[in-house]
Amino acid sequence: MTSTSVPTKSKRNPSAMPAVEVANVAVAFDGRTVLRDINWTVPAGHLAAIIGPNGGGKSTLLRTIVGRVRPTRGHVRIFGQAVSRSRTALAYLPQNEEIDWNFPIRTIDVVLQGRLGRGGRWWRPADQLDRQRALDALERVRLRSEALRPIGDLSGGQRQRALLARALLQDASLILFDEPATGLDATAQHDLLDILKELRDEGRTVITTTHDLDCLTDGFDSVLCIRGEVICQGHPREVLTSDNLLRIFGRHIPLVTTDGEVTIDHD
Amino acid sequence: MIELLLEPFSLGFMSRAFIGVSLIAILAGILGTFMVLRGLALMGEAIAHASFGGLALAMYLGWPLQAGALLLGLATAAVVALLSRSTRLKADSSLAILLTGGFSLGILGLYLQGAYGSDLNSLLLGSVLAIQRSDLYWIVGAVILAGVIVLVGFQHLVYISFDPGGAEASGLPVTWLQMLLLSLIALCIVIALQAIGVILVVALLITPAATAALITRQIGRMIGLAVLFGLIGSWIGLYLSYYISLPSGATIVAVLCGQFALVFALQRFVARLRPVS
Repeated sequence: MTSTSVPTKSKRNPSAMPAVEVANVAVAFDGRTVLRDINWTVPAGHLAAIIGPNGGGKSTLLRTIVGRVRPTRGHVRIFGQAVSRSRTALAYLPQNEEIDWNFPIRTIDVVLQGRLGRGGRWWRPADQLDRQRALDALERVRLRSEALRPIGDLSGGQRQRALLARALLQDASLILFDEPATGLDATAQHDLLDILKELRDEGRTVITTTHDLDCLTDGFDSVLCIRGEVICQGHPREVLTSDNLLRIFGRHIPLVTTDGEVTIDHD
Repeated sequence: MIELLLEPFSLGFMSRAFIGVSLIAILAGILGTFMVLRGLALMGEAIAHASFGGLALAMYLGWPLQAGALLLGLATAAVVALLSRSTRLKADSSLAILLTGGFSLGILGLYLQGAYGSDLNSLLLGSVLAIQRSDLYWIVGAVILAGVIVLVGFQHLVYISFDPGGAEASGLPVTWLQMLLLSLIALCIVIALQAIGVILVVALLITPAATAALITRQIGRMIGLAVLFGLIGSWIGLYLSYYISLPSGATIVAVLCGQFALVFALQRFVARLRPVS
């Protein structure tokens, strides 16, 4: 056979590929269908959110994207490649309760775990340069002063930011963040969102799940609304209509529009 | 005083006991820290009891005892993992089934070989003073092997303990690392069986590490303190058993428990003195 399929230019240049491509994905546990017919493409450099009710399959979809759950149908591509071949490019921040926050480890050592996800010479102990990089990453998420404190002493928002610093040390170009807003007060949520936007602005792709609709319209490039299947997707301003929200959450959620900005006001 | 401390070493078997127990305490402190942090104490107990079944099996087949013990200890860890993945059983139920199952296999095995009496006793309770030179070789080999593996893979073991989901997504072989950790725990238990016996061996892994966990929140220091507590406790235990002729395994474990109680009390006391910040 001669070479009939010359790799296209876009295949060589990962940034031209969509960061995430979910095609016809279905997921079932014990014969019970959790997700069906999911088709979703996230362009590189987007800040995207998956929204939906509890049990609607948000976290399952995120886990399917990172390869923790195997789809029963369909496939996932990360920058045009199978998940198993793009591990170093992705950082996954699981739900808060999946992490042992009482583990006796300092914040800087959590950040240094990012070295292990990056591949390369993992068996080498962290040196001065690694430590400097970890401090720089902590600086980026406004946590440098907490570097030497046990991770368990940090507040909810600080913990989430520490995990983001770990993703930065790994230099992940795709960051998947499961329920980052859960348990955070409004200030902490906005601080976190500001950092997510900065990461997006430097070309990284960030995908979060949330059932909290605040902040969504302010800065997110796209949303996917699911409830076992795709309800709607697109730019938040187009998608988050009261009709759609009724379809997603099964109840009416009033919308308030103030000078062109759509914000969502749930009583 | 010095003479009192040195006297036991004039006896070959006491020297071997001190060397053997010290090496075991070092390895047990390292692995015990991970067991305490990951909630693997009951798993350790199950491995120890199952390896008792392995000892009886090895005796019957004429294998080296350690090989049989290691085999059944590892099989137990694997079956628990399998059961928790493929059934709705919580891990503690599977552990209880395998713990008692392996133990009964050991008792039946010894009974059928007519080795029920004195052998049973020494396997269950261990005999530090009967450590032979050849046992020391096993111990040294196991400590070096496990020590090097933990040293090289330390950051990975910490990562998968702290955040298994994140570690897996970033490409760490989480399942393999977990199996590796369990294998090392099984290895440590098997080499410690001779010295301290099936029933008490888990104390050597858990108690010093739990004592260390009371006073530090940094895993590196926790390992260091666990090793230190393990060494101090087993030395005191050995001296006591030498001078008042007490059963050595039980004495060591009692001292380790006393140490835990003392550190707990001190830690409470200091916490009360410290001004509220």
